[in-house]
Amino acid sequence: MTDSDLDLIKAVQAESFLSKTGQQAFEVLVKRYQQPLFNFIYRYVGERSAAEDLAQEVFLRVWQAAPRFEARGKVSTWIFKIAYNLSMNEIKRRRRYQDFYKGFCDNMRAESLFPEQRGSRELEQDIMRALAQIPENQRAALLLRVNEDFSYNEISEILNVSPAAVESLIFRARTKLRELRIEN
Amino acid sequence: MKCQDVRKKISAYMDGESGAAMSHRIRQHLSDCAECRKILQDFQETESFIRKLPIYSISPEFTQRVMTELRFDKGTKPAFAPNLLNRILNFFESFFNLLESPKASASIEEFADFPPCSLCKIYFKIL
Ligand SMILES: [Zn+2]
Repeated sequence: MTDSDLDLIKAVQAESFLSKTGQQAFEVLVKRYQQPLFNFIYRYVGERSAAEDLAQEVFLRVWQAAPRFEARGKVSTWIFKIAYNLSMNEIKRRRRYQDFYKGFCDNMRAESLFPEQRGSRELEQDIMRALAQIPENQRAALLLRVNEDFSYNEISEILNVSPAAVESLIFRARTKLRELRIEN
Repeated sequence: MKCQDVRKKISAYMDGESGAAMSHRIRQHLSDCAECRKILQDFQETESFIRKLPIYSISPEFTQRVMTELRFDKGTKPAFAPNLLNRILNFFESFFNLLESPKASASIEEFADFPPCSLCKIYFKIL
């Protein structure tokens, strides 16, 4: 039988940081979430190399904060909340320092990092470009809904806004995407 | 229901987040209104467009990198120690941090008011 997320966090909480058991439990959690987290962060931030670093940072924060986790909410929501906050800070930081040559860097990376997927690259770039044109909080809400299948209540916890605000964010994101599609 | 009100709720309706009564009213409206149906269809198309993004694979060594990081980085152990051994370790760690901290906090600004070439005074201040 596979352990639930909560079982794993409890195992981490019960053990000392030096113990094998706690680390093994945590490793299962990392393996369970690394892929969805990485995909969410990459699509949200828009850059692959940053996404992997951020994902690593998320797990270190989860590890540090595990002793204080209270079983009131879901583990998945909690992990994505940490990921969202870190990614949002990264986006803000970039906006301050890097906007000027960001487009250039993105293109360079795109060419060198995905040689295996050249065929589907055009469609992928179209989608990423469309996503980049909707405001960050709308993009986050939409990605959490569409790709991660979180409910509005869960997204409201992750983004720290009301469920009504989540509904509005997703609505506006879809409206914008629809406009973009009609324009093209 | 007016078209305007339906359109505001179509996105939530798509997500199964509009509640049973509202969903029922929206469904009724949609069966009569081609324009609102078109908007729903457009929304659904943007949805499948977003879903076409490939699933990106994280580096195969990612898990090991995370696990190594948290095993060896002193700063990344859980923030409170649940057992006695950890409490003792934490106590000593904060004790030694306390001893070390004055040296670390001696910044160049502290010497800003010294006249030039007063290296001796700076030397004594560090001591
Ligand atoms: Zn209508």
